[in-house]
Amino acid sequence: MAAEAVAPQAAERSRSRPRLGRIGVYAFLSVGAVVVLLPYIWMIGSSLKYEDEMFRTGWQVIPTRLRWQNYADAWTQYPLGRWIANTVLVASIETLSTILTSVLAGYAFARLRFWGRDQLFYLYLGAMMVPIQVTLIPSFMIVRSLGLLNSYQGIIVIHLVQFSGVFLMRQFFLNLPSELEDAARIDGCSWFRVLWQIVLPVSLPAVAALGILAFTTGWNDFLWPLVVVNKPDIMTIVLGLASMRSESTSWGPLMAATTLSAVPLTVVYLLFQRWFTEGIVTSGIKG
Amino acid sequence: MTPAVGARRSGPLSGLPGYVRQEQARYGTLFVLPTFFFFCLFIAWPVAYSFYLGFFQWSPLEPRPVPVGLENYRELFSSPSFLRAIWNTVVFTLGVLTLTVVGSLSLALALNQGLRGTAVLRALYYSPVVTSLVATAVIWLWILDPQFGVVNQALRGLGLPAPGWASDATWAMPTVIVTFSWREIGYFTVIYLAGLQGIPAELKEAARIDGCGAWRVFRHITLPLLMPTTLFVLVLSVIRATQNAFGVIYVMTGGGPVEATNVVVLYLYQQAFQFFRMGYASAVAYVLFAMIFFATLIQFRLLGRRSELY
Amino acid sequence: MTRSFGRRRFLQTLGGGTATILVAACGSSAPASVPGGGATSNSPTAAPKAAEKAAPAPPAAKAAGSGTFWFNQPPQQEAFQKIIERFNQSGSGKMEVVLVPAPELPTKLATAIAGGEPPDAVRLGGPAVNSLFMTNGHAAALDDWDPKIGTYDFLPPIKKAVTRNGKMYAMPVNSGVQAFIYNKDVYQKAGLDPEKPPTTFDQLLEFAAKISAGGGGQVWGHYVPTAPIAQTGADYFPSILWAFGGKELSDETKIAFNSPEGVAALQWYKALFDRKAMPIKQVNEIQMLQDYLTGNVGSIGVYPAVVARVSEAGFKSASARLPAGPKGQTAAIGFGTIMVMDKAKNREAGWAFARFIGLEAANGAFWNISFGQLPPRISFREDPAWKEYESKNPLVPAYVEAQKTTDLPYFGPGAQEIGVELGKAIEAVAFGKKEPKQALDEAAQASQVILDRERKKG
Repeated sequence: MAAEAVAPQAAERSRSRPRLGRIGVYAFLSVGAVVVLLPYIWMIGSSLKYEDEMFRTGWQVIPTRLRWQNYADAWTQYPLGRWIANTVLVASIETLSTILTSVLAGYAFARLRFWGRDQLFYLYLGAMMVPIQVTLIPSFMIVRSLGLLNSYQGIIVIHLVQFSGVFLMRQFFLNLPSELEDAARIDGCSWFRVLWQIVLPVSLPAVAALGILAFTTGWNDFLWPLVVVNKPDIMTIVLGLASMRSESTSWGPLMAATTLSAVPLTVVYLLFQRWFTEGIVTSGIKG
Repeated sequence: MTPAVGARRSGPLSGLPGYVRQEQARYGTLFVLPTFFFFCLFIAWPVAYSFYLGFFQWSPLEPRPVPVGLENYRELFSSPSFLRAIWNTVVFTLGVLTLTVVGSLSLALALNQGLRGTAVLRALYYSPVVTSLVATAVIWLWILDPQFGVVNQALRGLGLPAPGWASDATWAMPTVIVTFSWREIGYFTVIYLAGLQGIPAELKEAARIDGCGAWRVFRHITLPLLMPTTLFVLVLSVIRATQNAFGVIYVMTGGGPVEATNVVVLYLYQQAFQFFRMGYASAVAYVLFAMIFFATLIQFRLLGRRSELY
Repeated sequence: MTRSFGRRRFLQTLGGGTATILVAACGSSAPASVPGGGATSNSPTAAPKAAEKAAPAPPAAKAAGSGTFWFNQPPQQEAFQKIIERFNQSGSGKMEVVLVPAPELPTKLATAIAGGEPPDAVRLGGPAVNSLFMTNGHAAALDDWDPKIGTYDFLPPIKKAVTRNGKMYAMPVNSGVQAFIYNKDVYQKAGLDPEKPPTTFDQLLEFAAKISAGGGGQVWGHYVPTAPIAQTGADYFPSILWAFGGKELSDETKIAFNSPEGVAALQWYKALFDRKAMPIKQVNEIQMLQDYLTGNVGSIGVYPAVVARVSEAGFKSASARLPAGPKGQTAAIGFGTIMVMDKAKNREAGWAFARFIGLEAANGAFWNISFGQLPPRISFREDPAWKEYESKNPLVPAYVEAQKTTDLPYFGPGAQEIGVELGKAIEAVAFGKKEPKQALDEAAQASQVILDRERKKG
């Protein structure tokens, strides 16, 4: 029933959109694309340059001679593969944990009533606003006393819960019409089943969005891994790239490494984004 | 709704029969427990500890904090650097907020049309977010270099004035606003795309059948239904602009030139980790926190009611 | 239909994820498979890992077990790896290296100290940073291991910088000095004799202005750092300040850089901008080097770490001493040390490494050649490998020569913050927002407050 409704809608959409509007949209997207791409052209161009061309002025964004060796150098001089593997591991676990805890808490804030609910939500909002410089040293002390310093667990533990995720899910759940859940409750489902079987399937866009955001946060995190990691084995990619920079760096391999490091996140993004851009979900409520 | 037998008179659980109340309370608490535990450990304690530190003078390299009462707060409110930083933070945040919300909403709408080729574009627009922040800031610096950068070479070639961008006291703030927004837009487009998916297509179709043009559909159906998402985007935008902006500004301008882009979070980092004045830095952090908190409160007041529709 | 497919996929991911969590929670630090170049050529921990897991008692009597060493420059030319391997094979101990980005090193180190987890040894650069960690007893006194260490032929200013109460608290391992590097091609094109660099600051100003005038806005004469950071005020400005007869402090308690001589020095900076010898922009050490490497800058005053990059550039450069000012030609000295942390788990390993580099000529020379620095011990410069490097690299001798007349920038209490105040003053003058006298007076006022506050703590 739901699936049937999707197909004709999609077709109708493109048919009914006026041509002028379509051109306008394409134009807008293209201009934006150029602005977005400019640094990438430079980055990829630099990653293929020889050192003596690296800082030539202006237009020589495209190198005259290509040095593919930069990529090989980056890969062999630095443990890029290791760094990327570490970061994938860390970010994945953080993402799963964030999704789990955010969905649970978000639903509770949106649908369930319990003592202290609103006050707690405002506390969680406040938690989002605390600057990391403030929590850095105390968190370090806590993690140290838990014996988790210098380990994957130590890096992960700080992002197991992300309050922005709770906030996101709550907003999304608030916006869902509650008829389906009400029907299930009348039928005698426990809240857990309602969440799991009724609400989650229609919440995939928000969950997917949260997944991407959480993964990105975990991937890009710098300050926390910096103070927690003391072993080269478990360094994350951001830490690794930062340690590659200094006044005596070869910029070619560094640019190559930076380019390579963008690949995994892009892949994850491409995987996840299908769930919130393909109209899989409909409201499910028809007459 | 007439209260059932045994119902409470007030509070979030009012109006419900006892057994329903208990069940909701039980599940509610259960669902919230993991986050609550984390909150106590990694937020409540560090925050309380650093609030306490705000009344001391302490370097992490020294054995003992020295109590100084309100001295830290007095110093920061009379420091011209800090006051300038507050102003800069407000300007920066407003600039980023405008660009980000307008930009990401427009992008999400455009990408949601289902036009061909937008799948690739979607990945493209997210790419600033997935690339190393430092790398992109450095690259932008080079592209915008006043002497040797591509942009100024082009401008000079066309006979237009070539400003100093990150090195110019007037242009530095717009430069960092745009660079930071360039990254943030991708992030919030994802959220808006998800939010757009939550809008039942039937409503839009019904409006269209009734004869509404695209703009009216947007204004009266899409935008109001996006309110919860917009509230989220606004609140998070402010938080990220006041905190995450550290990376971009640090690399591109270091707070300059002549403090033109010195924002509170940069000042905070300098005091905490370059000068190791943790006590003073804690006081600064609290002022920053208070600013964000009030901004959020205002946003909730303005949009909160309208964002909870059902 | 579509709905349940999505749900199944979600469940699969969740299931897989839970499994991963369980595995990660139970296992220790190594992931299952490591692709690419992690384990082979460059990981210095490949060999020591096995040793770590084995019983702590090593074969040689002097061996100190394994320790951690924090290092803030990326290993280039595999030389650094070689040093570590040399050390690990020498039997005196084993070092696991952690690469820390240079700007973040103080943050990470302070957090570790506050949390009770300092490394065994760390490489620190510059008098101010070293001083920061030497106070409050965070550094171990090297005299405890080698009572004669104070008698070795370290360069006097460096020894002074690391000595407290008669004991040395850090092992100098490399040294540098601020000297003058100029682009011979640019000089040639501007009509200047490439064999005759300027000998006074006035002359430098003239040359720089001439280069810019002939460059049509594309070529610039001379760069000085202008970023409002400690490096600008504490590492780079002192050389010019001294050349004009100024001083940072008049005695231990009073700020003195806003004297007429100090104003004259900053006035010279201003002249660079007024005469368009340098573009008005925020420049730090790295930016200075990058712009120089474009080949469009006449000269820079810089420390020797850049020598390798400059030599590789597509144009010819030469080096010389910094020009003389009206009152002298003393340049600022720079240096790096290996500091052994007092409360570390394995100080012995830290000491073993420090002495390996600092007290053995061959290793010291090797270290310095790799990083383009000068050995801090005079006798180490007689090492054959170093002499060969010096003879093959035309930029180096000028630095050695320049090091004979050097002094230490201020490194006492508040050095970092005062450096930032000076940096801010320089920036304000560069951007034309303040006159030199006003900028220096305001900086001096703020610096005096800082100095008083920091001295009270000690």
